[in-house]
Parts: sequence; structure tokens; C-alpha cells
Amino acid sequence: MTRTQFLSYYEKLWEIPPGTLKPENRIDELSDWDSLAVLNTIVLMDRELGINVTGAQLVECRTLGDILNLAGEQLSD
Amino acid sequence: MNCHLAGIAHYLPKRVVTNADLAVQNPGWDADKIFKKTGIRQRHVVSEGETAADLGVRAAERLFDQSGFDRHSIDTLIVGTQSPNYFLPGDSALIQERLGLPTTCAAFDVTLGCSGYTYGLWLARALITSGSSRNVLLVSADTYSCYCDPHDMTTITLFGDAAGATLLTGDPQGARAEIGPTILGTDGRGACNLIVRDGAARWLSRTDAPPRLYMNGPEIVSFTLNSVKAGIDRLLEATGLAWDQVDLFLMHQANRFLLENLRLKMGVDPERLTIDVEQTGNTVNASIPLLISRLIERGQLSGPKTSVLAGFGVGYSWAMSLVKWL
Repeated sequence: MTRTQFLSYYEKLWEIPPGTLKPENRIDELSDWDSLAVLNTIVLMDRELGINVTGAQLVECRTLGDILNLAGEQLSD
Repeated sequence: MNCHLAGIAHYLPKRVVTNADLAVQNPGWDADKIFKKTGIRQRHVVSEGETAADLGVRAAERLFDQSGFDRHSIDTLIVGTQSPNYFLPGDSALIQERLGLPTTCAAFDVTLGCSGYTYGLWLARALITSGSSRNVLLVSADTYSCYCDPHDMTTITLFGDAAGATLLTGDPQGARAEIGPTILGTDGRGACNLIVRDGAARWLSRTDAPPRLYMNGPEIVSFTLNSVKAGIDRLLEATGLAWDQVDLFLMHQANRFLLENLRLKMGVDPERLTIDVEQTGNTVNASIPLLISRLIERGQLSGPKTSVLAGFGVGYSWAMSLVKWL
């Protein structure tokens, strides 16, 4: 899976046009980012990439790119 | 001697709190937003002065009425609750007295929540197959609503109150189901993620603080994803069954989001994993018997069927039981 494909999950969740979201987007500037987005991220990382991401790790993320980086090499460019 | 499920009943308190009621108390929220996040439209909650023990007694009386079972034959009462009337004595002594069970009856509380029912099945089966007990009444009751801060939308939206009562017996005559093995697990590292800290021995110095439930949602989701499928894998391996040989997964009814994502992780189609939280919310210890009793009432659960019951949550604690419906 690519980083763009992972971002597309949020685009589908929030019903916004594909390609809108970028890694440099700040989480605190995303109006759709809420507690459900945190839970959906944990679930997606687990289901699609087999990675266990915790709430504590997500709290430290400032941008969407920080979230993508939690997946490391499991996400290609 | 095998362990059989001879009867099951439930009781829901009459008072109902809808999403609209919660939205009125919490600006910025509306009924649809709450439903979208939780899959819950309403939850039954106790009225002033009503407790989990009251709900448990009513569920048990319904069970006796429906089954015609002689309560004087009960030799063991197990009460699963984390919302007891008092620090002590436990609810089991109070319920023994109110139900008029024999004074020769063994009675004890099991202080577990979401895993309480399947732990109860494990205990009852162990007692019956060892010959220690013949007829076990398992009462499962919780009132988590009483622990929720009315303005904490991470908890008040989720939890409802209820009780289940289940009759487990060594007598196969007229049985609805046979109780198979249970696998169990515990991880106390998760204790801090679903907890009522106030009021008990660790917090005696703060007697003016109302005991409030704290829940770390993301950690609970992580725990669930890591533990539930793995626990079911262990049970199926222990019993020599494959996933596609399980007709029904009867899960602790936490909330729609968690159950839907668990279902996807487990690779199970919706017909095999019922989600029934919309009208009742997460009723903790009563969650699985409530689900089963409601399915039976609606004619949606009959044998022969092989089912896995999965309780998981506060502790962290989990237990998965094999139950064959006859």
C-alpha cells in the first residue's frame, strides 16, 4: 500500500475529493479529525498493515505525515 | 457430567435515555452524531434507588417463571457484577436471600465486567463437571451508567444497564445448549484504561469525589484488536474446530464501531456476528446474556448451532466459550 492510498481512507471517511489530503497537513487544522478518526487510524493500521498503533503514539503526531511514518516501510511512497 | 444451559432470561430497567436526551445536556452534540459514533440510539438505565442487584433479582424471577425450575434445587449462585450494592457484603448474599434460595446454597460474587459472563460459564462448567455443583444460577448485572459523568461523551453515550440470569445444570433433560470449554486471559497492564478510581480502598482519602468511570477509547480498541481474534483462535485450536465450523459469534456488545471492525478482522460475514447495541448500549456483564435472551425471544437463535461466546474488556480480561445450541 502507498502513503497516498492510506490517505485516501480518510478522504473516503470524510467524503472529500481524492487527492485533497497531503502528508504535510497539520492534524489540528483538519476540521474532520476527531476521536473517531483516531480509532479509525488504529483499526486501519491493524487491518491493512498488521501494525499495532496506540493512542499514545497518535497523540504525538502533528501531521498526517507523522501518522504515515508510524507505518515505516509498510507504506511505500 | 456435562454442563447444560437450561434457561436464560433478561431484565432491562424501565427508564430510557435517548441520544436526544444526552444532546440536550451536552451542547455541540446531536442525536445523529451520537448514533454515528456509537451505533446506539438509546440505553436503559436504572432509576433513583434501583441497583444492579434489583435488576438481577428481576431477571432471575423471570427465569424461574419461564422455566418452571424449582429454585430450591439451586445449589450454587454466581453473581457477576462490578456495580454491587455495597463494598461488603457482596450482592450474592443479598440475592440469595431475596430469591429465597436455600441457605445450603454456595453464593459468591465475581468482580468482572465485559468478560464476566464467559468467566461465569467457565466456573459453572468446572463446578458441574467436577461434581461440586448440580444446578448453578448465574446472575449477570451491571449499572455502569451510575459511574458515568453526564458530560463525558466518551462514556455516557455507550453504557446502559441490564441483567441476565442463566440456569446451568448437569441435567441434560430439556437443555437448550451444552457448555463447552472456555479459554481465558488477563493483562493487568490495561487496568488503567477502563477504571473507576474513586471510592474504594486505594482512594479512601477522597470520599467527596463521586466515583467516575474513565475510559481510554484508543487503548481499548488496540487491546480488542490484539486479543479477541487471538483468543478465539486459541479456543478453536483447543476444541479442534475451524472458523467456518462456527455458526454464530455471540460477542460482548461493546459498540457498533468495535464489533464491525472485529468482524472484519475475524473475516466473518454479518449473518454470523450479531450486533444488537442500538436499543440497549453496552451493558457490560449483562451484555452477552442480554444478547442471547433477546435473540431467543425474537426466534433468531435455535439449534443445532455451534457458537463462540466472546467476553472481553475491563481488566483487561477476556474469556471465549464454546456453546453448542441443541
